[in-house]
Amino acid sequence: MKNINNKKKNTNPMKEAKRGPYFEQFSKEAKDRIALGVEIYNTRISLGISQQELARITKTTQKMISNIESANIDIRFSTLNKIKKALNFKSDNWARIYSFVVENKKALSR
Amino acid sequence: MKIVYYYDENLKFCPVKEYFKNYLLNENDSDSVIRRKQKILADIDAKINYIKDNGARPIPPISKPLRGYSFFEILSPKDFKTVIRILYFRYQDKMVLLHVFEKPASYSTNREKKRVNEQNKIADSFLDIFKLNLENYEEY
Repeated sequence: MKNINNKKKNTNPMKEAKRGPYFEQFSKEAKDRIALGVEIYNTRISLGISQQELARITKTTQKMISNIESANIDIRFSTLNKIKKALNFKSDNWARIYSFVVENKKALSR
Repeated sequence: MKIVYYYDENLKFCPVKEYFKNYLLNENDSDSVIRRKQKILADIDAKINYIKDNGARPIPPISKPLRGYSFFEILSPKDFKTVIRILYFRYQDKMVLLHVFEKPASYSTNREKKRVNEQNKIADSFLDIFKLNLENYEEY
């Protein structure tokens, strides 16, 4: 018992967690959520829309918008569709979220 | 930029590191418990690294300054009712993880507000102690 406690005491929790079976998958999902949340936040701010206003347009709540932007929840596809429509998301927005280069903007916007 | 845990000489441990140990996997954990623990730490780690990669400044919506304090907060969900508040500050080339505590996702009672304020003040005292000994940290 003493050895187990000592082992736990000296453990680096993040390094240990990274060896777990699901960490890599959840980490990738978290990074995607952050990229999406930041893009929604930046686009909303650049358009001068408040969280309350975006919530009203997309028929959701301010709390929900806040949680999406803060990458605290997995967004439903239907909600994402409403938000991208409200914020007029273009190929550049998706490129920033998924870190790809837009080579043919016209083809993507079709 | 390097991420470090604040080490408290009186407590003899790093408060944030110690909290993260709650989510270490145990032999008897069921698959759902393993998934829950891994998700909580993966979410926190992704946010901490995002902030670090952006200069450890308060970058909304992922990180925000706290009114009246010189450190910043990162919020990450624990469950539907509880969020984990991680407090950090930037010192030279370091992002110092100062303190962490759980708080209700939404709260309204004075008792809850008081408890949150008490925890913020503890973080403030950690910051003061760190300033006296800048070597009080451990690797993330």
